[in-house]
Amino acid sequence: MIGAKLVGYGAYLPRYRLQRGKTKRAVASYDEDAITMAVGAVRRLPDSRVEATQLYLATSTPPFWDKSNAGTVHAASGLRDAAYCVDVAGLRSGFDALRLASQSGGIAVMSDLRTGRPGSAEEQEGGDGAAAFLFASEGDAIAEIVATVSLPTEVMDIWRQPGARWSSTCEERFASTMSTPVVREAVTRLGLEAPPTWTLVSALNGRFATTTSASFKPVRGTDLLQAHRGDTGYCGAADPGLLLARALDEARAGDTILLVAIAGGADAMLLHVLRDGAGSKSGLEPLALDYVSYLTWRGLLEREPARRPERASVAAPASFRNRGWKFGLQGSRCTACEAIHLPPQRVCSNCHAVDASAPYDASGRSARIAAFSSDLVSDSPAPPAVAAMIDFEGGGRVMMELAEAKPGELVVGDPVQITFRRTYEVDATPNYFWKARPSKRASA
Amino acid sequence: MSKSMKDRIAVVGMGCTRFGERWDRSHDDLMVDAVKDALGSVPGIGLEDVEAFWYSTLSSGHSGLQLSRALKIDRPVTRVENFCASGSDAFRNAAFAVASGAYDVAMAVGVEKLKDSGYSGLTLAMPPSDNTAAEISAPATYAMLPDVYTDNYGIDKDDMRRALDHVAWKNHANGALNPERAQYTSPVSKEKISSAPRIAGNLSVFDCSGVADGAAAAIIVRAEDALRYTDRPMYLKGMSLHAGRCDGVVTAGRRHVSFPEVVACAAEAYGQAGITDPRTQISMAEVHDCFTPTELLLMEDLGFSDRGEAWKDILEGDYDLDGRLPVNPDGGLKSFGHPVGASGLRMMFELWLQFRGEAGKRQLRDPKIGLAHNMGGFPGEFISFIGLFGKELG
Repeated sequence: MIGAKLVGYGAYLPRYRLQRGKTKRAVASYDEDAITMAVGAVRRLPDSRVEATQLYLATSTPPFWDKSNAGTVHAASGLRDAAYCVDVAGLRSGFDALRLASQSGGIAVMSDLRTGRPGSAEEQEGGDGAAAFLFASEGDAIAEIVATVSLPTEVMDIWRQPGARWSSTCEERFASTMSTPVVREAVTRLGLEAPPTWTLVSALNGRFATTTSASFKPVRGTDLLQAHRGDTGYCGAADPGLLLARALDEARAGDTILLVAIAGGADAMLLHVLRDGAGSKSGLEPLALDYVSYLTWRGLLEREPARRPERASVAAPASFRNRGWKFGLQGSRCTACEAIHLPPQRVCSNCHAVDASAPYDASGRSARIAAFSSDLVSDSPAPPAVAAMIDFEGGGRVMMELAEAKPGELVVGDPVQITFRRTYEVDATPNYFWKARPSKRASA
Repeated sequence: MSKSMKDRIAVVGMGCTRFGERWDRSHDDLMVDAVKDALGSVPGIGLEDVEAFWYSTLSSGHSGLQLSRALKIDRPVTRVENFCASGSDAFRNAAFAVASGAYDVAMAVGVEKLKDSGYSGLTLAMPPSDNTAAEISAPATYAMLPDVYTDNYGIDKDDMRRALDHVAWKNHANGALNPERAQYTSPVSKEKISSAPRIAGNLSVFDCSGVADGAAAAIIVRAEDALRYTDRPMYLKGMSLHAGRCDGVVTAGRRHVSFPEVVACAAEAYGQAGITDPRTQISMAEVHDCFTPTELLLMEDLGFSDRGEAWKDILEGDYDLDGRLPVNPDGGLKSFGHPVGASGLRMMFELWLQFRGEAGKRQLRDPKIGLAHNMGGFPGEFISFIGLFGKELG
């Protein structure tokens, strides 16, 4: 399939915001990373995503090098088993994934977590988040890609060695001066006939991104870009995706979108919007994060841990055996009496049938808190931890950690969203499982 | 000393999973499989008929909930842990329970899930201590045995090594006749065994039991009820458990050419069963061959060989499948595998099959009395269990 159209998109932003100066940046929770945020974005795509046979994951902060990160995202996103899962790395990779998926069809998901030295511009202007795009040759298309141009440039503008905590950057005046003609050339080659409705420029330096964007005289100005820089930040490989998703929310059928990603040269894409956007979706309200917590969560400040035993490292055979449960939150349904079991059980607790069950996907189900407690004994980077008994609609109950929860604001019966998280890390091995996050909106 | 329960207890159903690398099976799955197998071996008995359970594992689970959760039962379940003798002790306590009249039908379920840890050999989380104990692997503690034995009796070390090779060869050969359930099912030549690289002292991996996943289960009733369930029950003749004083590892001058706990345990069980000459009265034995020298010393401690003579009897084939007293006809811990909490019950499972004539290519000619010896610990400090079982009453 060549030249698929965009039929769905989803953005995932972590809830935490760190205010530094006048701007805020999105901060992944201590239990989020490029994989979990990518899962959050992919799961926001329309249901037809399960038919996708390509999954491109773009990030500059892959939790794994040897192991496929895209494979984990695939496992946790409820996709069909036969899928071509591709890991694309680096700051440019977000654009790459978008372009690849637009050519082959399938899912492009870009997810990133940007951290800099304490006090640096990268820290202040960076952001964390993910966006996913679903391309198909059939279906009610949202937009189509008219043209793309990529002009790579060998330049030391920003770089990072594997394992390094931060990027190194050149002096920012040099980067903008060098990049400007490349961007101009790329956009010229796109062959715009009129100023675009939207110009979305993704670059490390926010001021440079805004002035570059304005230079193309977009009909809708640069408000959206500035809002993104002011409340979310530059999200690395995910940045072009988050900008595009935001613009698609606001766009009208007939709009044109010029998307430019700058890093090691320039990538430019012209999109034609085919359907009115649904407006910005008001998700859960953001939560303010203090700087000490931010530093702690990113491992930049070591806190006295709780006096608890070392957690067990991940047992590969058990994780593999239970991968349907661990990554898909797949339980079992008794084929004799329809009872639901989370996790899957061989003996039915209701009718005692043995080995009579079918897989049951609980991952997309709504759920409620049946009981909960704060937990100051268990170690947590965001004390107090909150433990809860979660009852799933349709049956099944799981004891889970609550994410982003304040025990004082909870009551039994509160609704929760089930979310894929990084539970802990031992022996350089991150462990993943599902948590529940309260989804009740704060009262006005 | 315990009182004899000879002919008061019967096993009326047994089950055993395949042992080995069971990557596809969780600890719970293995228990469900073994229980299904045990229930399936007795027509007309269901899980609901079993009134109480004893569940054994060294370290794969905690509390009786592990079993009640997997089986979805609301019944008394007691978790038993007694090192490598855990499975036998689960059986022993279930037998006491039916003998007391508190229950008519009890089940012992033993399980271990060792492979998930990814470790070589056994590991055990120990309580906090002063950390002065030397870190010594299990193979190393047993590898100390051969030289003490040869030195004590003036035996040539090569002869001893040949005897150990024979034990490994025999148990692998027996396991090869147990393709449905054993961990290792290929015969291994003595040349391969003797030339294998050493992992501790003069022991190679062929001298060590198989690290395995697996589960086994037994359904236990009073003897007077046994024929209601099966026409071929297995009767308990004698049973003893000894936890030693552990002085062997702290007493200077003690030579580990014998395991005193096993000697005491055998005397007690033989007394209960009326065994005065084990060499002629016992048809077959499943013994705790955790390492090949263990099996060799056990032949003397159980009274099968004279002191200082076991190596010779072994080389003469006395304990081979066609020998005068077949030992570990199912392959033993060596090739059947050693999922710790299940092993004691696995030994009884082989007696059960042999008495019922269901042992396939390993079938012995009409065995009447079988011995199961299961133990845990290290030379100098052992828990030893011996159970004697018979095909008939009387």
